[in-house]
Amino acid sequence: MLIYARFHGRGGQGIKTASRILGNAAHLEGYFTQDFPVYGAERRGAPIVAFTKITDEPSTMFDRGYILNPNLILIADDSLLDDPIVNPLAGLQSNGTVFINTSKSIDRLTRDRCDIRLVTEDLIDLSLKYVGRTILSTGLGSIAAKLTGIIRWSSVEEGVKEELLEIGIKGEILEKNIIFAKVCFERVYPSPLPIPKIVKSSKIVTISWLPPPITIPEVRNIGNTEIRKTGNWRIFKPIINLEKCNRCGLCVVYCPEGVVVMNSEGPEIKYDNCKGCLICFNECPVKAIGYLREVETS
Amino acid sequence: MMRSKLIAELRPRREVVSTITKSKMLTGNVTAAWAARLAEVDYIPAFPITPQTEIIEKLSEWIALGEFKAKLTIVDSEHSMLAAAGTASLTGARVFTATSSQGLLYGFEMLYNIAGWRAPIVLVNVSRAVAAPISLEPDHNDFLSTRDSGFILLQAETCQEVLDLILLAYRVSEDNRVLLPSLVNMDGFHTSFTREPVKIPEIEEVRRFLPKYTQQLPFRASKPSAKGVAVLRPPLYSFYKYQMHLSSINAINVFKEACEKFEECFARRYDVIEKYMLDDSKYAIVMMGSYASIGKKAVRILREEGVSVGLLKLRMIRPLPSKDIRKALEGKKAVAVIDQNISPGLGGILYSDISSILYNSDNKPKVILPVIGGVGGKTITLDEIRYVVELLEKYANGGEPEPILLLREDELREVESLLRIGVGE
Ligand code: SF4
Ligand code: SF4
Repeated sequence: MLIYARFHGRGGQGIKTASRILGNAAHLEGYFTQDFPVYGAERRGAPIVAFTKITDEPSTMFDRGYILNPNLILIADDSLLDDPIVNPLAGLQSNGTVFINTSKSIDRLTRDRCDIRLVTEDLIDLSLKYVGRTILSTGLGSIAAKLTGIIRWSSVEEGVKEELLEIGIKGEILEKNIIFAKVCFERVYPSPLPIPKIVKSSKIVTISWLPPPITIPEVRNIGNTEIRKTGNWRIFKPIINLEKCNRCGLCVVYCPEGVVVMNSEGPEIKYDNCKGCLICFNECPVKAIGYLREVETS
Repeated sequence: MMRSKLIAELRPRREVVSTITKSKMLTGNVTAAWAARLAEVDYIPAFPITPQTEIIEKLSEWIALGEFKAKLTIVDSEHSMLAAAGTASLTGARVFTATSSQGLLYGFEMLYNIAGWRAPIVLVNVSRAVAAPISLEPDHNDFLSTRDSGFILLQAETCQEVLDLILLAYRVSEDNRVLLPSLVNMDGFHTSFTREPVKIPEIEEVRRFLPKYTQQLPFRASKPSAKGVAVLRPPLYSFYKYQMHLSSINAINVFKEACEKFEECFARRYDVIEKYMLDDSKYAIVMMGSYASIGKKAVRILREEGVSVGLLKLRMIRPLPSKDIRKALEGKKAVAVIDQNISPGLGGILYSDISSILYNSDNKPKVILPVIGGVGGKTITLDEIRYVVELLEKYANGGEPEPILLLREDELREVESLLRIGVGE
């Protein structure tokens, strides 16, 4: 038995904690487990990935690092599906399971890959309902544990408790999280996961010297941040009410992404790149900026 | 007799365009300052530290007198100094700076950055043993700590070599095939404060040798770019680092080319290594820096006594000219590497480099003997080198020599009496 679970999400969504909840719960069940996150420069919204490996045979755990051949994938943010750099379904084994947190229906996925099982839930909606804020880690970890088919609720509950205490969450919020995790655990059902096949990689190449400047780590193609459409990082979308706005320009100044521009009609948010941090909402002195959950706006 | 032979050796092979330059008595430090002046550097960020300070004092004096036009800035630390040096170089300025020992280590992090930015500065390090315990005298632990940073590492023996290697370093570093910074090392006191005759070339001659530095893509406020960017994809990081390695390897041939041009301009010949009475010798000792002068003298005396020994002086440490070193040492019965440094738990640093070069050779020496000598500026006498050669003869047919420390009986007595003072007996 070997479970290779890979979690995809964005910084701030609790991906690492989710993978640890799964790791801890499996450990409490008596399996050999390993969990491990990879993140770049830490910023909320940037894609991150985490891994949990579970086995009943310790010799198969002589392994470390990235999972290239997962049999279980958990995606915390459906916008990642279209991100070519993240490519969250890469290596998913035939008959493997993919879980996606989404409020949309994503049939096209199974149209492209009819050999995989797709499970979806709207975790944001559930977490708002049960916890009162958008917190994904507990729900995602709990769903992952259930989808393995080898972990009981009691271990998940214990795992959630330990992991949340570790990051300083206790008391009422912890209790709410356990309820949220329980609800999630009961909503999904496992199906057998295939044994991951070893991935064959492409051949080793020879690198020869190349003349500068191509080999110097610098970026000369300035203004290229616009190319990276970070608009899909948003969970909440800021909306300016131009009638209330007094054109003070503070939102232009405070927006860390530089995506609010002052036009002749007033400030305008470039939604292709707005990450939804809501700093503009907090800074606007006349409360002319409000926000909606992204799904409600489309 | 000696003198005439020396002059004969120095006679240029080709027609020399250079005017006869008179020599002057100069310290290694003042020579380094001359090299910076002759290279017409634009910018010198500086921070004082013994035994390097004389270099920047001389440069600032010339600037104050209006004899030399450059911008010299005293900054708050070696870390800032090196940051300023690297970034200024990226704007297209030719940059010179100097440090020593603790200073080099304090700015250490920036060395990897400067190399990674591919900023072709020249940094002079005046070797001084690293604390603790505190010392002012030289050994090569400071210099060799930089060996994986991406800098081109060159070691000078004489004051003349200090001048020449700095000029060569600019030419090699700024070559597009290399585009990596250089560190030219000289030994504190034994070169830095030692005066000997140095030929200072005319500026026109230097200009003929060293073309103007042009940064292909200079950093400009009006033309922003991001240098030294974060590379969050591991394969891209591997790629950049490997390209640095390949560029460093290029520096071996670029240096050899530059040496030819150098000989044409100044009638002095250099190579990546220097062989002294080595080609026909049975035994070899490997040394570098100012102590190689002592080694050469010992070799000459031992030769007169009929001992078949020669000396290999290392000049280029990174890139390591493996082929040249292998060729020079292949066929020797036994080789001793005298490391003027110590890597606790290993022994000498260069010993590993030399051994790894020879390991795959079919004609490798039977034994390579690791010797630690001259650490903390401890002198090495003729008899110490004689002892090393005797060990080579002993091990000529094989054996497993342990690293040895060169320390004499009289020195041990001195050590013991100092230790007694220290503990209050
Ligand atoms: S939410 Fe407001 S402050 Fe944040 S990126 Fe969008 S426009 Fe800028
Ligand atoms: S901060 Fe508020 S009031 Fe000021 S320009 Fe922006 S939206 Fe208008």
